[in-house]
Amino acid sequence: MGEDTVRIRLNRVTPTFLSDLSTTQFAIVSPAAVHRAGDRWRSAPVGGGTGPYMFKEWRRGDSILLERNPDYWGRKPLFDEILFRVVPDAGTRLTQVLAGDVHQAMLPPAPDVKGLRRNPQVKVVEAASDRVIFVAMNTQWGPFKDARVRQAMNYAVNKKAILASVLFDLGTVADSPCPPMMFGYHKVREGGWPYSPPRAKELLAQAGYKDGFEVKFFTPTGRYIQDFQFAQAIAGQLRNVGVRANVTTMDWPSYVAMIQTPLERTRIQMLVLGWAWPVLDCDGVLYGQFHSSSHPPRGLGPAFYSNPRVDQLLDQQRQEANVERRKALLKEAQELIWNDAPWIWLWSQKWYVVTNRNLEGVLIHPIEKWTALCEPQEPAVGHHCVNWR
Amino acid sequence: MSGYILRRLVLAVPTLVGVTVVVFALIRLIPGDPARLVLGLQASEEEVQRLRVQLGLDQPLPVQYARFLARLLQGDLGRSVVTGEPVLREIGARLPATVQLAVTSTVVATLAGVAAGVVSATRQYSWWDYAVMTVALFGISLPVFWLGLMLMLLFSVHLRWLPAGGYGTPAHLVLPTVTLAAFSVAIIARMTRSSLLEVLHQDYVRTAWAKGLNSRAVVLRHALKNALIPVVTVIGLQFGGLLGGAILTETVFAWPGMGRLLVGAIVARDYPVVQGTVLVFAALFTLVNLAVDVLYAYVDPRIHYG
Repeated sequence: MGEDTVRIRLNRVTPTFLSDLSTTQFAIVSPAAVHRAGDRWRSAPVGGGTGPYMFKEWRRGDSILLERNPDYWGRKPLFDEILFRVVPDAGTRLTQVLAGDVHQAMLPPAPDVKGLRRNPQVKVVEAASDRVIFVAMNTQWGPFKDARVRQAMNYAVNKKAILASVLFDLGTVADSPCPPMMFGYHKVREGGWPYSPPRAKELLAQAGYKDGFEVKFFTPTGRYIQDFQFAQAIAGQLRNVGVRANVTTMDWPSYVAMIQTPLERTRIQMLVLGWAWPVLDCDGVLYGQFHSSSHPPRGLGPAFYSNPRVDQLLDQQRQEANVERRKALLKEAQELIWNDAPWIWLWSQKWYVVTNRNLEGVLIHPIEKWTALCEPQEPAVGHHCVNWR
Repeated sequence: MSGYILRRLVLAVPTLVGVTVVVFALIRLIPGDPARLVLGLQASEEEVQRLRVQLGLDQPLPVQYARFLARLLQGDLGRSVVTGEPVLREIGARLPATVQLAVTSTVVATLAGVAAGVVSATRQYSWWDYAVMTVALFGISLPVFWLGLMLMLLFSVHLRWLPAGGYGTPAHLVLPTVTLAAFSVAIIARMTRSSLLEVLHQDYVRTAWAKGLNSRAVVLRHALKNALIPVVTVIGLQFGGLLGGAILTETVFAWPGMGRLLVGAIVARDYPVVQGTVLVFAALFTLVNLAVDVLYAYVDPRIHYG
């Protein structure tokens, strides 16, 4: 419409549209620069961005170097250069911070975090992320067809104990199907699903599984914080109420392939999965996991959950431009889903980095990204200007 | 000799074609979908399907293989699914780091291993012998990721002499070289020892002693040279193996080599990169084996290639 205003016409009501525009895919790049770079535009410096730092050099498998953008429109970035190093091993990343080789490392080994919090040499910066971690139960398989069994599973697992002893407090107990920082979040149950093995046994008996049952329990290894370890802890607690869960793990590509299998052929009985959405709106997790159109292979909702009323609510909120009415629809959906218990509601995990004690202004964003502020006094200008060297 | 080398090179071609078939089939037999892995869990099935078509993954396997082979004949290994870059460029970016590490650690391991083996063999059943062989046993048994982290703790965190992983300067090369060499030293030392012990009991060695030669001449010139054939074989195998990348060492030291490229590609089901990397590795291995065979003729003049 003007020099720097555009009008976008949508062909239907899309309440999340403005938030969607904030994701990285919609970052503005210069079409001329992209054209100039041809098929190398993903890997060569093209000078097509608008951020405080410019892409300078990519050494494959080793590092990416950024340099200050002298023409940046905002306040001047703080560092001359920022070097991102590729260090696949968590222990090595931590060692590099301790050795003073780098200023910051993302995700050091979780078991070390406790000690690092007390280490005066370094700082651990941690914050809640929007990644919910859950055990999906295939609601169309055997015992899990009965909602009482699924509720019993929730009563049987002591989320708080596992968070403290296996995850080193790198998570927050879930009290709703949607994590707290999202638009539309409604706290369904203060403190999360209560831990009560007697209640679990009672419900199992009511459903006709007095002596429990056997179930295949899949988990990835190294994908989510302490995933394989907490899966074993959960299996141990389930055993206390008579449910014999056999933990199996596999590599990530095979895992994804397993999730994508349609219901007739699926091996899924229950499995660990994490779900995060780049836009802070409950629609991402609720529609993507609990609408019946998201059953594999079309979607990736491995619980195969189906509730006509939930479908209806989730469809309606996608058409609802009124913020308050949309919140109400999402609230009802969250309550229904929570009580139907297609998942064992676990926690949303934190995201964390360890930094040199002199580095200030590092902030964790809820979408698993971090910012080292270029100008600590003015957060809005900050971009991903993290630091090494 | 040159006729022999040429013949070996021609014979390598069917081997390499065989490698392409096996790798092509294996990587596709394990479950996993490159398109889904690139786009992530949140991508819609339509987007994923579009990428599958774009990558040619919707075609039947024989068609995919024929296309791969046809492009290979033009020297084109295809493009990485993940980065969109030509596979040759990806490999070219990683190969120098791998060759560097393979060469330094093989040189270090050879010098230290042969020296240790000679010390051991010439003082059989002495304290020296036991000490060297015990250290060698540790070298073989220590897991490299543990040894690597321990070395970094000592030399990077406590002493601050060397960087904790990374690539670029000679200082970065020291710890990964030591870590990798620790394993090869042990094997080379043990091989040198046993082979040399055998030779030292031969008649011509007794003759050499009888002639009144000093021990240096007897051991190094007469005995060691004849004991080297199995040692050269072992060194060749080690070196050839290292050219494929040392995945654990590369991971621990954040070394941007071929091992990490290959494993990363397998985890992403980046078919073209897996195929290209394994093919290049197989070709290098074949060449190293050929070089070792040629070397035999120099080490032992009795060996002739007609």
